[in-house]
Amino acid sequence: MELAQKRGIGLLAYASQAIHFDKASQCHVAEGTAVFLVSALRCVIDAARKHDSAASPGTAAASPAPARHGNFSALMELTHDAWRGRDIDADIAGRRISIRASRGRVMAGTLSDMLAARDALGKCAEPHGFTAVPERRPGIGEISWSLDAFLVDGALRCRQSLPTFAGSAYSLRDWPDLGSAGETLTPLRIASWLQQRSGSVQERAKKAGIGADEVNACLWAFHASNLLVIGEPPAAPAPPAALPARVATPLLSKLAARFGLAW
Amino acid sequence: MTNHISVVDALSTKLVFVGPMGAGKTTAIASIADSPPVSTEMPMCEPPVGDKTSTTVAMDFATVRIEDDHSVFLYGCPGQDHFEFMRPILLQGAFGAIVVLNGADPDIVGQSTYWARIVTDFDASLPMVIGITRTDEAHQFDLITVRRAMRAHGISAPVFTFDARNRQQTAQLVRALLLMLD
Repeated sequence: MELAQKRGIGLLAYASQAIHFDKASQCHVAEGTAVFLVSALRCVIDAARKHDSAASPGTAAASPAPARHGNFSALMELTHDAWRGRDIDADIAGRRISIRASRGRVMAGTLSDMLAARDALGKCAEPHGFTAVPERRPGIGEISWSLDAFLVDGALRCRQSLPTFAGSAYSLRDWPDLGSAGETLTPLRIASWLQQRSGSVQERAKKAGIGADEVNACLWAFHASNLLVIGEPPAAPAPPAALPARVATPLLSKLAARFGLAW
Repeated sequence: MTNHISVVDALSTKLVFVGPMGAGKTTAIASIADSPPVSTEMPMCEPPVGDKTSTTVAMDFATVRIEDDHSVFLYGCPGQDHFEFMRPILLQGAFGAIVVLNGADPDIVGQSTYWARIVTDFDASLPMVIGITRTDEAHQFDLITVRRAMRAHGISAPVFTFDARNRQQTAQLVRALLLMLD
């Protein structure tokens, strides 16, 4: 252990008595579950890797994170121009994920990593936690999920800590891929209103009993997905002339209620 | 008389699933229906696709009861092109179409535009949602290219990835369709 300390080698010490280490790549654990130990070990390995890559600059093909000041959550960081719409490898709360915006997917080594990263989107982004990579570089691991669903679910989990989204007029470039989203109804309704481009989404949400924080979280998520167009929404497409209703309104309401929607 | 009213109403509560063979249409219908679909599954005369050894040859049919004597009728079109004559028969009178595609298909982009065009050629104003299955198996699956291809063909339907076995995820496609009718 002394030799590892002296040489700055990554180290996880499992001992009942407290040991103080100065380096980020060396830490002490007194007790914990296997999952906790694995998490601590990952932190040690990641810190050691960062130390190595800092020691040998220019070895990676990827771009380093631009310096930003302030405590930004990982989600907020993903809305920054430097990252939005780009393929990146990210370290979120010690979990490595690959965001492949060019394919609309997010990848991780394990489902546990994926879910933990999603749940930590509201936490402070780690310095240099994001690395831009060339487009379509294969991602980390075998677990693959919809990027839109990942961001929406993560944003809704941290909705109370998100700042108010600027502006009042928005639209969407495309429907977000919400087929596998855990939070099913609210993001879908908000996406639908944004697609219709009619009226204020906040006002419509208020009438429908949807909380302002949920609307706000969806806007942040859609922005991080690079789907949101901010500013005056483009003119809505002309409605088709006198199309007959496909389903009678009372029946449509019953149908909607059957599938969990209500209007 | 009650039966007669139900049949008339059925014209406006018909939802049709279309897409290629083996994409998961029958599975998707089964996941949201009240009872197992009435299927016309027959052994495949072509080589098996994965563990799939049978395919729909006429249609799938199932219902979702909504209230009293009202039901949504779910129809699944056969995926093979030699049954294409069934598609307009089943799409006639539908309030929407769900296109189910296999995300592990190397030609998913071509498939998406091909099947979406089948629906729009039948009725350009028919609300449609694209559902793509098995994207977890296809590590190179590219949603953005699918979206771009759809846009290039003037199709603005939602494109969702989903698990056809999952009731909640299949229902999400139906919800999106209903929101388009709102």
